[in-house]
Amino acid sequence: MMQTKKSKPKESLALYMKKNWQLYALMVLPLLFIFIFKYGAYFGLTIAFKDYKVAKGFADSEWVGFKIFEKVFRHRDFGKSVWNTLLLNILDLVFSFPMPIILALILNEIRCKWFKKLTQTLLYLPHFLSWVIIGALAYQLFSVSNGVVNNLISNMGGSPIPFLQDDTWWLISYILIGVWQSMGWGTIIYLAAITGVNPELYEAARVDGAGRWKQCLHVTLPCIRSTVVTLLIMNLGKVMQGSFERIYALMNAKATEYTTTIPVLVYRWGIEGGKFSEATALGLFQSVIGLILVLLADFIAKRLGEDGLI
Amino acid sequence: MRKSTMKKGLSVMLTIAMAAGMMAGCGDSGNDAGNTAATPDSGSSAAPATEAADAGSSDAASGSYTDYSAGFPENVTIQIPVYDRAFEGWNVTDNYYTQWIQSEFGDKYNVTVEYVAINRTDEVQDFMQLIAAGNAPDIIFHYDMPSAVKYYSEGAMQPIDLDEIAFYAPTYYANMKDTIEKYGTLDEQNIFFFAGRNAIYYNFVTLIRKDWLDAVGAEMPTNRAELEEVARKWQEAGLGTIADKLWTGSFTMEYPFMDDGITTEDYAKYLDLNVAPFTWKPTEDYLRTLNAEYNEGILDQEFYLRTDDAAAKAEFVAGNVGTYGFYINSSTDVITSLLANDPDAEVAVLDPGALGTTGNGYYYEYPPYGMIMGMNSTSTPEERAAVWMFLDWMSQPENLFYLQNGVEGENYTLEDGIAVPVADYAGESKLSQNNNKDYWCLVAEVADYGDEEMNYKANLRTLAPAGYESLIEDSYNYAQKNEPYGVVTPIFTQAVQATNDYTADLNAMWQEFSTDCITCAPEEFDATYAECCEEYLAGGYQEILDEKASLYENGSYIAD
Repeated sequence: MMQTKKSKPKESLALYMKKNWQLYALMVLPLLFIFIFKYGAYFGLTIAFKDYKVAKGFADSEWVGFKIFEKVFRHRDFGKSVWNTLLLNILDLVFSFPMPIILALILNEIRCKWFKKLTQTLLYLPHFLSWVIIGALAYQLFSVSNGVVNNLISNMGGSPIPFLQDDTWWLISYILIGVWQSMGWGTIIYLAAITGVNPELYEAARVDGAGRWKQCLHVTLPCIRSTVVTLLIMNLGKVMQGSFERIYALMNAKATEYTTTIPVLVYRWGIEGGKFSEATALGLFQSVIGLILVLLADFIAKRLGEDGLI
Repeated sequence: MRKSTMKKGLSVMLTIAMAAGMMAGCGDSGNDAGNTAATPDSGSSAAPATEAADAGSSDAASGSYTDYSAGFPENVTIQIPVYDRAFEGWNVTDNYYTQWIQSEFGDKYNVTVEYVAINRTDEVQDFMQLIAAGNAPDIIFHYDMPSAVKYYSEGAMQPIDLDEIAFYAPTYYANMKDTIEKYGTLDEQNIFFFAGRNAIYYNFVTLIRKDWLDAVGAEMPTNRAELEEVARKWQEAGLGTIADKLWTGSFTMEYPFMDDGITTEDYAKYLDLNVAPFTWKPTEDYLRTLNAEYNEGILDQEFYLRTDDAAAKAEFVAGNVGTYGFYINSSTDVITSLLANDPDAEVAVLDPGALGTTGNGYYYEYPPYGMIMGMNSTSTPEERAAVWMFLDWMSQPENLFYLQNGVEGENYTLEDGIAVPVADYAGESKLSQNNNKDYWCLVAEVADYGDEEMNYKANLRTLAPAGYESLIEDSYNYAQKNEPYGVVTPIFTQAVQATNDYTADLNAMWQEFSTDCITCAPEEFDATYAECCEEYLAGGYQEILDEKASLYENGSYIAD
């Protein structure tokens, strides 16, 4: 076997290509797309090391080494934005990450089919709403003087709560709205993983006297563990990113303590201020840290005996 | 594995794309550079002419330019920017009037006039992308001087030769010569050319609920203290509050709080529509006044959520606030919407003096020019000539009048020499918004009959909603009364570099700090304000002030 494999590779490859060239021709197009639009664009990263002037273009702007990075790192908002990005995303991870798992486990236990489907659909829906709409809704519901919720509270004799207009409350609302928006969608993957669990395992557990709770804990959860870990690694990579629209739609001038994050700063510098070099440098910094975090999480996961991503 | 790398790649890509959004242009940058490099050549070919002119003989100057009055030997394409205000049923780059321009001007001189749509709300972004891609139109413009200077700083504009303008555009140059000579220089070069502006101020009105004034038996307030007194009575009667908004640009909130002791140096240092003068005394007074009002409950308690006109209008229409300032025109829906909500509502124009402590309605006075334009650094001598000829053609009164008013008997009828628009005209020669202004703003900012009274009569028709002529009359009278209090922003003849660097950051800081200062407890105001000032200065404002101060000392400024 080994010998035949070794002696014939060229011939068989040529034969193989001749047979299947259409398939490869088909693949050239998406590959080209990826190389031109995904990798080709990396060239633009050079402006993080240049004093970029739009009229001079990428090629003719002056090289300035790490000057732009020094400027970015010294900026008064830089430390704050890194801290806030980490804070918001870690809180998000703590609260938003487990919710879909819990929800999937609960949905899995529902026996009434139409009710399960209806609930699932209703839970997915917020995922399809744009953050701009969610932001507008949030202010309609939670603002102090005109918000529906606060009107209810004050009609019942309570004092209005500044859900979005106080720093700490804003943080809580931000996280909870995020959980509400994302939890339904997140269940899809877990539900799919749960479907793949061998029913015999449940039967065996039932024979051993396990109730529903015990089955959930000792059969379902361990079976979807690798899915959970994979998603956790991917989510860790996002700890340095965070959604720009989500913050932008929910922020206001009164509660600003937690709203200066890296994406907001990139927008402010790049789009509003036209300082493309700085915005690119900050974006590059963010992505490099994100990459390191993913590799780190992957490494740890492998050490713990999981599959990992790479 | 591939998934994750791709994801990573995608996110980096997105960030860069967001920051720059101009990848498509990178292949073109070689060409672009070539063009830029070519500019000095074209400049030097014009140089002998300039020298000749300097020598004193204008004949020699005019003799050295090729005469194209019979048309260009080869077709020349000029690209003219036009604001796209995104309203339905209007193609900004191809419509009755662009076609008319092509047939009347373009075909006559063998020029193709191409319009380039610039999104009104993202104009800087649009221009920056066009410049980066090497596709920017021949004219690059902005209404505001610091922003126009920014395009120049990016290297997008070429120096212009005034004799060349005089040769190709005698009418235009005769109209604008003084303005161009006075305001058009930057770094000792002629960079900008302008549209004229015979400014009017009575089109900005602050409405106040007249029925609320009557309900509490109050007179029209004439200064801030009286306005607050009215608001207190409104509060007792369970009516609304005074309105304000979160200022996010065009910073003029401090004007009503100015007084007559301010030096030109202070005006030069602090006035800038794009950078809020947070540390300046009038701004402090503004913040202090609003702080007191906020804590008393007579100011809109969520003013910081009103970040655009729609939000401010909604509050007024809903009857939550009693004042609303806006640029009025006859098609405004604010009064009809208000009446739909509250049939008993009545509105009057608030005395502009009522916003300030002293009752003197200091206001932002327009410079004597409208649009500020520069010539694209990649434009060829032929394109330049064609642009000048285009401006000259548009400066002819009959062409300008046609562009402003359309076809007689269709769009308008003449009454006493004033074009009276035909109501709801919807034929093929329908005008764009604001009487086609985005097309004729290259030579004039305000339609001008050359006579104050005629202008007023004409404006009364275009500004006042039917039955509300008295609003404009009142506003006109207030504007007359306030005339001495106009403040013209001094401009610098060199780019203020620090402004480009810090504007976006300072704007974000202003929004945060001003809200903090207004919403803190009155006894904490001084401490909060001092702390914010310190941060604001450290965040780049000190650098701007220092740079402006040294420019001022060098005399590199123009003030009236």
